Amino acid sequence: MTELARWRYRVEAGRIADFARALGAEPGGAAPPTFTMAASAEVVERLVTGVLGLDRARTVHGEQAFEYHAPVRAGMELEGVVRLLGEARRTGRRGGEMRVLTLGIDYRDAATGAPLLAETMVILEREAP
Amino acid sequence: MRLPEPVRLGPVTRTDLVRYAGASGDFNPLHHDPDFARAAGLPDVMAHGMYAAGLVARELERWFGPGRLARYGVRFRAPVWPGDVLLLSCDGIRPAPDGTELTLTLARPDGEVALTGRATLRPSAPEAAP
Repeated sequence: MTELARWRYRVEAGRIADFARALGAEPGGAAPPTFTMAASAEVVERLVTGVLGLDRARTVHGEQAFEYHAPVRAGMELEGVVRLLGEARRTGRRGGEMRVLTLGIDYRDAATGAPLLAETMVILEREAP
Repeated sequence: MRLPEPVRLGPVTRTDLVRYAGASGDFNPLHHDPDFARAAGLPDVMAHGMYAAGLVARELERWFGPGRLARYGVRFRAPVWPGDVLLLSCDGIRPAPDGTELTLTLARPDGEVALTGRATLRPSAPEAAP
């Protein structure tokens, strides 16, 4: 399993509140269940347009899965790791070939090493016309 | 545990997508730049898949309380567009090794399925007490 990136992300109360509000949720608690999308956004963007070589205009998010081990709270520093779990080609519904990339993203509490979340992300790139 | 009643979410506005882009750090122009979206063959900007998935997660927390998710997964089936009112329904409930698993569907106004999902809820605290 190729490790693509490893980084740290500081969870800030203001960012949690903005994220909650953006989803119409009540701010002021633990991070919303999909909050770690904010923690990985920059890293994943860099990989998509960089080493993974995907064309933004033909690329869509296919699937996302979260496994929760412990709550993410303001003040925590996350340590994130992205791994390439698999790459395949699949025929799309409209007949064209698609590139299917599966990434695994794991987060630990940087201070304690405790696992927080494990994520799987499937990214699809349609073939060029 | 009873099946929650279906609930309508939205309408999704362009401002919602801009706000979500800022909060999530996802500045993919497909979600906020109509010229880029059209050049890519779309009729308009489309919502971030994770915006819709985030709305569903919000409803899960409203239905069952915060901090109860053991697992949450979604599969994106069709784009969500500005103006869409989405219908979230819980199609099934079954026991899982670590709790209760729900299957979920989020549908667009014409019935097209935008996403399907699964959520596993841990037992609530009183049930888990020894």
